[in-house]
Amino acid sequence: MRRVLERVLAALHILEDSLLVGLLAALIGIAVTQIVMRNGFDSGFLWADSMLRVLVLWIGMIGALVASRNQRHISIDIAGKYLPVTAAKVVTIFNALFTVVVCFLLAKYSFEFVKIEYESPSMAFANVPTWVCESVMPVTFGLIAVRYLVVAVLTPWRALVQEPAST
Amino acid sequence: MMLLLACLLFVAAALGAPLFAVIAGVAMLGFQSMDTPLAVMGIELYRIVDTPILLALPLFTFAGYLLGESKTSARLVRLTQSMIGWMPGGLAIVAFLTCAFFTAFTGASGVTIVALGALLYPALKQAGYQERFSLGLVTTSGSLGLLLPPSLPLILYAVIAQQLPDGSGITIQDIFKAGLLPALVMVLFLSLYGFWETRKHPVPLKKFNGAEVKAALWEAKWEIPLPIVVLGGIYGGFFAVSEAAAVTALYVIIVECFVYREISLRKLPEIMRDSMIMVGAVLLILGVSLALTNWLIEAEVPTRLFEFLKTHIDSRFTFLLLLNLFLLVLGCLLDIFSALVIMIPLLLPVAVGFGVDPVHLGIVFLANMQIGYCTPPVGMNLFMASYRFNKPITELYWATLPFIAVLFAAVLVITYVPWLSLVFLGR
Repeated sequence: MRRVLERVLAALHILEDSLLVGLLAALIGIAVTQIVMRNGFDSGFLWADSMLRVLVLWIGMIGALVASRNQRHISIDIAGKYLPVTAAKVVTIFNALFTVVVCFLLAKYSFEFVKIEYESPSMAFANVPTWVCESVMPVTFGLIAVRYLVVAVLTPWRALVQEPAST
Repeated sequence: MMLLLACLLFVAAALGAPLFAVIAGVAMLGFQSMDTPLAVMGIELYRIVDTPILLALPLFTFAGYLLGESKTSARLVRLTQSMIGWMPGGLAIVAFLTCAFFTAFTGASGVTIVALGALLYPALKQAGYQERFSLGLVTTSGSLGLLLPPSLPLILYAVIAQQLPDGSGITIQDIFKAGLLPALVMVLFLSLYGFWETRKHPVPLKKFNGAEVKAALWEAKWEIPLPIVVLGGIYGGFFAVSEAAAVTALYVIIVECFVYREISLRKLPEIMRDSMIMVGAVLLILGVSLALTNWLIEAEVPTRLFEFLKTHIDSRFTFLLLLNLFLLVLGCLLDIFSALVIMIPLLLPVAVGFGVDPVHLGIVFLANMQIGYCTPPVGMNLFMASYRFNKPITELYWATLPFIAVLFAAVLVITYVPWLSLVFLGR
């Protein structure tokens, strides 16, 4: 069971990484092509500019998801550095649960937003409807919530290994 | 109930919960209290898509990470040293210039200390500079250049300012022009300090060597066009900023992976991922703070804050002085990105009320925050340097102190001489 879980997790990580790298590669590729087309051939794709901006959102969201893998989010960590181990664990659990609640709410309300857009669809670019572009928000917030829930559950059993988070 | 939740948010922030969650919590609580349906959070976050300039963020960040991983830093140091290393205090000046240049591209993410500090620190000691001076120098210089384009915080400031009624007229080009002279003032002040230090503790001078300049130029020939293309393109109006970012990203990939071959294609995805993690962390905070900003404006918080402050502060001069002190404390507690997204929506309307130009405010804000990189307890440069050079943090506190004093003097000049920030804007 444990082996299976670890495999699923590893596969998920690879999937996220590849998605992130792929999105960035697409961003660079499309942006450069657009410049060449515009300056060299006085043309360009109508959908490219909108698509690039959606790509930025996706990169941001998935980057944030990957960042939550080892809690590399920006925080004001003043208390944490001076606490004894047990207290630090309690604080870690509290912070994680807090994040779970907020992310769950964000997932819920951004899902409501996506639903509204789904019911009266509009196009973001080319033939891609806006709600598809927006759906990255509820999905990632949901996954970030799950990730922090796992942190909260596992912390009591885990030795605290905290490297100084670089932002 | 509301009050209880507000307290909870405060506690979570102080205990080190992820800041995006805290900001999102505050925004949701605020909207809830105004009976706005919370689906607004989705709408606000999706506004990231309506901000074309943000395209530059992942592209420049990635380019910066790539430069940080390659040997660009070594070539940069060699080139600068060959050209000005012969002057008294030369190597110190070399260090300031290269750090400023490098940080502009890497966005003060701590990369400068890792990539350049590791070269400069031994070089400084070997050249005869005092240990403490060298240590303080490389630690403080890790964030020098924040005010130079295309640094991330400059771009972020423009993005946030544009969301506000008082700052809607600000363009990214304005901000990019505004930072030039103030950054120069900082480098100048620090260089004078470096020169003064060599008067006190003389270091042997090096001779100017024309052949070495030539060799260094030749070695760096592929990277020298980079700042010319980026800055010339932006200032000359040939490129939009996001276009310059795209060209930079592609150019850096080609040069580092295929020309110099210092980064293998295997390693490239890893660098792409790591840089995008940082972009994700910053964009998420920015996204939720867009929501917070909107609520603040709707609830007229900045207006009320201004009304309150007006009864206590009577002049622009006093306001700026208090602003400096406040930002100094803020810089000790918050990193630059969080400070930007949280404070600018509150500060900008107030500053405009006191007659401060919003562009000038941005430069003052970032210049102040730059000091925050080196102040305890959370100054990132201190941790990066402590980690990199294997020195206790307390030793670094003492080493950086004189540099912080010099930087603060520079910040005061930047604050009270708005001309430095505004001269190229034609205001």
